[in-house]
Amino acid sequence: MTYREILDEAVGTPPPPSVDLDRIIGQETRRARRRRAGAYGLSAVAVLTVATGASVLVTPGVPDTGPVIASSGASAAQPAEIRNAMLAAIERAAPDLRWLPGAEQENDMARWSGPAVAEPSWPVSPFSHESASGWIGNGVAVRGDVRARLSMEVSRSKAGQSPEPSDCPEYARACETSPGPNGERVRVVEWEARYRPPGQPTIRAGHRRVDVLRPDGTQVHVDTMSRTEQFLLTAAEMTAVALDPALTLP
Amino acid sequence: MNRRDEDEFREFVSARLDPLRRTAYLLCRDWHLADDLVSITVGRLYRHWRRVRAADNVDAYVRGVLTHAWLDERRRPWRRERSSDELPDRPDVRAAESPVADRELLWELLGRLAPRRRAVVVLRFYCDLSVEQTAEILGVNTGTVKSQAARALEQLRLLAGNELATEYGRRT
Repeated sequence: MTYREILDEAVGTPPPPSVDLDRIIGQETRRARRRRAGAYGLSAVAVLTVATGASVLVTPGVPDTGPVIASSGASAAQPAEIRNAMLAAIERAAPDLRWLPGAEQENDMARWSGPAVAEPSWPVSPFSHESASGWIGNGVAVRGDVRARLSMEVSRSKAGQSPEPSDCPEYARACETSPGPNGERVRVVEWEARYRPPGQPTIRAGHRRVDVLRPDGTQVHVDTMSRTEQFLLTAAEMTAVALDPALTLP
Repeated sequence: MNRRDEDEFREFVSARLDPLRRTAYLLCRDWHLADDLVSITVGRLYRHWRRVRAADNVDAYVRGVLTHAWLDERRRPWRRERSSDELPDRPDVRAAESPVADRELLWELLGRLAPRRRAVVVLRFYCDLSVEQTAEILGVNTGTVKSQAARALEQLRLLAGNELATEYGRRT
């Protein structure tokens, strides 16, 4: 078996593509048109400025070179509101969680040390992809002997983009889909993950994700990755967090 | 771009969409993001189509654009995934009991590679690019590509069969 074949096998069967060639070509054509128009406009202003001798501060009007992105909920929401909604959802489902301040910036799970506190350490950031935008928050939570990264995304697909696949991937360790109480689609997936604590054998780490797609298109993802085999939250708790109606985008 | 160029572009992209998506998925490990990266790549190719068409090795050029789109994405303040330079000393052999477990193991292994090292693996072993082409895309010297590839290869070799077969008698 060649490396390419092994890697191809690792990729598995891809889901239907969401790459829309017509849309991309349309965007690029409009972008090129705007750039030409901007360049002509600048030339006209420059000619006028020279002709009149006026001292004019010209701010280049060349449009942003990035792809045209439809407006989304991310820009309209306030980070504090989103953060509060995320933490409230977690608090309702798992009020006994404690947090490691600043540990969310540490990728090495072995370094998640120090005393746990009640005050959540939960930075929230906006994100915007070609196909979706929203907010992501994360922190390192503690429950009993379990320390795990808990992260949450609230997003919405952009115009013309399909939501993330909600079927069960064949390479998941375990997966279950179900309808939510208000028409949501719920997927609970346990992923294969391994972690080698310093000086110890590799263990299977508890990695679970719950994806909720609401009828209005809002997507909520809740993900936990433990440094032990135990999970931080039960599937029911994670589902309750993801289904929390307060997690919305304007 | 005139109609003829556009038709040519469409044909070019359509023929490469599946391998591009797979390459993107190997890099980022998320189909949603993979399609985003491919969309960004296709947009950039359209923008510079004449330059793309004139490239000595068009497919290497395209994979370079895709790799840079991913590395740009990695520089964003938030991350969808975490990775580190740390590789396990050896795969967890208990998990390697079936082809599915092999795949999962490889997937986990790839996920543990730092972004640029993962890019080396994908470009060299999946896209079949040369050391020189890989070095040019990543902006590093050929020695760096060779050393990073060698270390990753050592891990992949375990999955390819022989060593596991010899030691654990799983394969015949």
